Amino acid sequence: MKLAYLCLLVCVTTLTGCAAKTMYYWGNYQNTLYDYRKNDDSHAFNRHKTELEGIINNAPSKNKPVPPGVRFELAIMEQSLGNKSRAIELLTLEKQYFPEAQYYVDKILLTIEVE
Amino acid sequence: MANKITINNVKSSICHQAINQTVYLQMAKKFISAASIIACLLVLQACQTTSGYSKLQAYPNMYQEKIKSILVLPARNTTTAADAAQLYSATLALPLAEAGYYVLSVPYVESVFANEGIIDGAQLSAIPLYKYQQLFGADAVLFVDISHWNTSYYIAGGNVAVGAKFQLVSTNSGETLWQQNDVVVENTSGDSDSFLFNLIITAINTSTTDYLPLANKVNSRVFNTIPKGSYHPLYGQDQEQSALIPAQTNEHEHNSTSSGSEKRASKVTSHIEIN
Repeated sequence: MKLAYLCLLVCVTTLTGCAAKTMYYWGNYQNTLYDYRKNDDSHAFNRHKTELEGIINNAPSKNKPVPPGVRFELAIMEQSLGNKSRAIELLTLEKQYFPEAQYYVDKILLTIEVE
Repeated sequence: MANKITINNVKSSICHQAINQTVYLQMAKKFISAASIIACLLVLQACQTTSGYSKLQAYPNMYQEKIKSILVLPARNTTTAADAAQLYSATLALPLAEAGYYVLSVPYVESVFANEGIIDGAQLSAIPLYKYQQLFGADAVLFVDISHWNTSYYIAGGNVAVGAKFQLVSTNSGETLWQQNDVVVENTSGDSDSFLFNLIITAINTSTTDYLPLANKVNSRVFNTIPKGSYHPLYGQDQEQSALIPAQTNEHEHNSTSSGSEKRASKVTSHIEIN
């Protein structure tokens, strides 16, 4: 029986090890984006925008980094609302955390600064 | 005398029962031990990923080119569901980022293409690969073909299916770095013996089944085979892991089939499709 308990323990711990743990903190990202795709209205826009802000604000307390593209996506939404300085701030952070973003972020920064 | 015998008989039968119970209990305990040992082995085996075709054998270019950023292109939609491409692309950033890659913002990329009048991936064939590097600075592009995104009904049964084909291509060399495809089918039929009851339950289950969990199931199976990118702790260390999609198990109510089982796939497509 002891062997059985040991096996059960191994089973449970292995299963928890197998369970999907994410590297990044995603919050409800997929659901709000999916919903925004499905219902292209201001409610869905606001819900997704609030979710992106929530991810950026809550990631530190979850001890996980903000996923690639989240700050970028929020920046584009802020820009569409005319919040230029917040958009520039977020885009700058995106390329700071992810150097791979520099190329296209710099291109967008140019167009924002020209406006 | 007769009474005594009866009492003795009762006593012995109680005794017999008690013995039987301990025997059963012991058998049950043995069974539980054996079952947990077997379960343990099965679980360990499921976690083990070294068997079969390795990632290095399947995708050598991926280890050579060491790409860092991926651009998800608008999907080519070959299903009759008009919104499949837009909805499906909402699920792709997560698995690619979790595999260790920088994923260019999918909604932004789509809006750039939409401004150029490109909504479906089929319109991309004329665009040379270097253009994607010029426009976005991406190391690789992911072509997505949506093959299944449908709800089908048949007599007393129903299915919801999501399926896609993926091809990751380097914008530098033009080489295919990784490719994979999968279909997940969820059986929405009722399992009662009553035909009419099943008909109703199937209609309810099928109409309320969301595509999102199925899309995520396809993604988690498919992207498990992609060599890990530089943001992943296993970057450069997963050459020996399996590049095969695990065979789908028939879960209690979710009947899933891999793309390999053509029989099932063709069965799905031959049904009346209601999107």
